Amino acid sequence: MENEDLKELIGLLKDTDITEIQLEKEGVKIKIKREKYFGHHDMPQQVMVERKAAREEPQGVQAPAVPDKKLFTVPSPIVGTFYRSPSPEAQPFVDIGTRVRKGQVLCILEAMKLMNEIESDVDGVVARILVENAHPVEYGEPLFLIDTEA
Amino acid sequence: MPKTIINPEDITNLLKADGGYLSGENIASTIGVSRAAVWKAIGQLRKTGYAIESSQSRGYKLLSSPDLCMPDLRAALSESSKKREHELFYFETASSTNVIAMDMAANGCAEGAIVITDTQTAGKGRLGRTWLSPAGRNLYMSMVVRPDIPPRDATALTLLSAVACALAITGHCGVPVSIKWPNDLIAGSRKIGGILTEIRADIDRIYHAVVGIGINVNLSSEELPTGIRQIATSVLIESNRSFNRTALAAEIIMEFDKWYGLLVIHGKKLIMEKWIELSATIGKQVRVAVGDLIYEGTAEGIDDEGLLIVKLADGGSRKFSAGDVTIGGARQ
Repeated sequence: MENEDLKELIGLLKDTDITEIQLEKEGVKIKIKREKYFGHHDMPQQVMVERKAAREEPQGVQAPAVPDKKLFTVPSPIVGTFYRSPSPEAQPFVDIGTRVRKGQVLCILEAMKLMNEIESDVDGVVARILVENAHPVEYGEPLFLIDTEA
Repeated sequence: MPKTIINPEDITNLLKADGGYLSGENIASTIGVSRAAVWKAIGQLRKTGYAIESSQSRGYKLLSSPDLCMPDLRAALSESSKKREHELFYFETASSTNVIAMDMAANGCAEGAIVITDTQTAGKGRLGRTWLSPAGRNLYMSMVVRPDIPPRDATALTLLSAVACALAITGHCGVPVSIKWPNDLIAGSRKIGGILTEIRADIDRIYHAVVGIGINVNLSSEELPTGIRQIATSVLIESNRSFNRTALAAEIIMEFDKWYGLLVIHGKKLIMEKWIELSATIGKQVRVAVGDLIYEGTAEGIDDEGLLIVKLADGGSRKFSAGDVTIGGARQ
């Protein structure tokens, strides 16, 4: 695998929740591990490429720890149901590309008629919305990625 | 120089304590204000529902207090054995007690603060629905709490407020009230009250929560819009009696305080047991609507977080964190 390929692969994985990849070149063995990540800041995805059958040096290559763009993850504080708008008829609080300010409401989570308006902790632009409207979410599940450098 | 600012409650307290006539001069000197200020305050009190008789020779006499009376509520709460501090904020008209209370909470008001109103112009239900809030009939109040529990346990607040309201209405008014998951208050098979809890939390902690309670108290059948007569009821409709809203509010708040104390000290186990005991949902055929999706099956129970467990017709089971539950087919 060339360095350029590796860079491209890292780029592709940047916004996913894939935490581990194993490749085996000739025997075509690929192992991908996805993990829900927790915490506020976008976790660096560690991309491990093992090159057992490779011609070059056999040790693993550690991907750069810091993604080139800083994406802030908004996790769910509760087990609940995700709503993108205050009522079914209303416009969504935010869309992809919406510029948000710290404290702006992003969505509502409902758990047993306990309504939790989730606010942005940062200024930025909504880069990804990771859950569909009216779908259940787990504790700690990422809801939004916010690009704080856009 | 006598004060001109006057707390009308000082006057009602004096009149209540005396029980008979007190002259304007007597009142004025006792609380250290001018007679003109007393006269003005009496006018305000009358506007808020106090019946105060005045006689030129004998002075003022309190005949009756309004049905929703903050001094009476304060007095009732101060006699409670479970003393939690409650600052009361009364509004004759409010947009929504939850909106006001959330705003106050965000601005750092004290734990236990209660917003109470006679009528709401924008009473809130779930997901933008409205809560019917005519004046002079019902109870609309919201309490600010800052429980020191993990956010994932916050759903216990929903269960406990339902338990507290059901027990208070049943005990005080003699109308048996059960709970439809998660916290609708049901009498017969119709809704007598609802609770909407809103919280501000991040993954680590709850900043504040507001428990909004709406109870249909003295609403007559004719006053209910025809569209909801099949699904809504009131204490009056169920018992043929009207009740003093202040006394019922006090019962609900005291019951809430009791269970809230249990939650903070012992966790949610006792609350969940009581909820199950009062539940109108468990063991029943239910239909759950979540967004556009509808599920049917048997309500088997609730899990540790209060989520409803339904055994579906196809044999599988599913947990619900939100949804409109209908018991036995007919929409409740």
